[in-house]
Amino acid sequence: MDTSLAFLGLVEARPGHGYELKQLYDEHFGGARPLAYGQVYAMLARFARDDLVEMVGVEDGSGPSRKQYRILPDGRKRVIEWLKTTDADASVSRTNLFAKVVIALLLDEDVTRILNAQRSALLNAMRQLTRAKQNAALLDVLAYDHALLRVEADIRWIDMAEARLTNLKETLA
Amino acid sequence: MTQLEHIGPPRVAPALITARGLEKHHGQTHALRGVDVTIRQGEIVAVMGPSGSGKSTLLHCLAGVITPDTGEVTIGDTRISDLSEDQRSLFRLTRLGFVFQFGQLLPELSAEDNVALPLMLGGTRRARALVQAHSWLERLGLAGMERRLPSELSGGQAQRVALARGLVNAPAVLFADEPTGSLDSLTAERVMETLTDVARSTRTTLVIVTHDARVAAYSDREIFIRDGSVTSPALESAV
Repeated sequence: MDTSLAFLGLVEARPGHGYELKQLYDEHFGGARPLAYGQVYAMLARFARDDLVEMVGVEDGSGPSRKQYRILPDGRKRVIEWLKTTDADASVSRTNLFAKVVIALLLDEDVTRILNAQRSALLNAMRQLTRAKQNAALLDVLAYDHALLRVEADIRWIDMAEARLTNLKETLA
Repeated sequence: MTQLEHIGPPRVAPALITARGLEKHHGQTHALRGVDVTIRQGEIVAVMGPSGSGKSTLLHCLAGVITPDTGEVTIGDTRISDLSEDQRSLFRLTRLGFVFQFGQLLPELSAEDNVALPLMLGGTRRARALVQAHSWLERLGLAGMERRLPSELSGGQAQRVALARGLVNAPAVLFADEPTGSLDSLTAERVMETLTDVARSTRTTLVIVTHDARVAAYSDREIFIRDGSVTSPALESAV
């Protein structure tokens, strides 16, 4: 995820001061990794320098003064351009499990047993995600959906690898 | 490495279904090759495997729909492989519940009559059977739909009616064969949540045959079958 552009999008959607924007970011995107305050104020300073946002006032309070920010036309343009970019990834990755299958075949180890153990572990991961998802807020459900489908893709890859085992053994013999 | 928590009923729950040495041929096909399975009271178990692996044959043997060539199946105190065909039929009607993928509701019967049917076939009077049917339909969010025909229900509603029918006789075991196979993803998710919530709250043992990992993720554990043999540990050391 592009943290900076997602944050800029929030400034457009909900103009406010740094603390509010950080809270909003953490609520929508933070998950287990909330934004650091230093990162929030560095991004806002950079956006202001590049004329993407402007400071519109300072809210007085008992604590430190709170600078209010809102988006500028260039900032809005940057966000819309980002929304229009697509995220299709056609790169081919050799995962750790891919390497294990190849090495196990070369060593004449029991690949089926290795794949079965991996499948079982991945299903357990899906069980935990499914259980967590059942009591989650809707935005978190959406994030769990993605995590579940990624694990499922790994399980389906294991099924394909197992179906190709005979041919793979011949190729690597 | 993440330490995985235990999901499901306590490991001390007693075995409810025990199958030993199941062999089954369909013509030239050796569908089951010496399968041993133990399923505990209150467990939710997914039977997984590729097409033609023998998973539906295993479910049919466990549920007494077909008899294995050799081997035995015990559910509770009943050795169903010893029962006559009529006795097995009565056992299925009174002790077991079933949910299937397609065409399971009788199209000419209303939702309430579809649900009440297993009770009426077991000798319960219609008025009394309908009271229980209404109770299950309401519990599964279908109040007001009692008189609708299957053709007047959405896919998800029809599957919940089928679930109510599977549960109406308070079965010891509910068998589900690809219970979400004909549903879209969101409807399938709701059906699986309902199915597993009801099974857990009523402590009904649930055996689900599926090729879908997202469905299996609702289970406590899986039994993986390939070429008629179980490849995951169907017997746990605690049993």
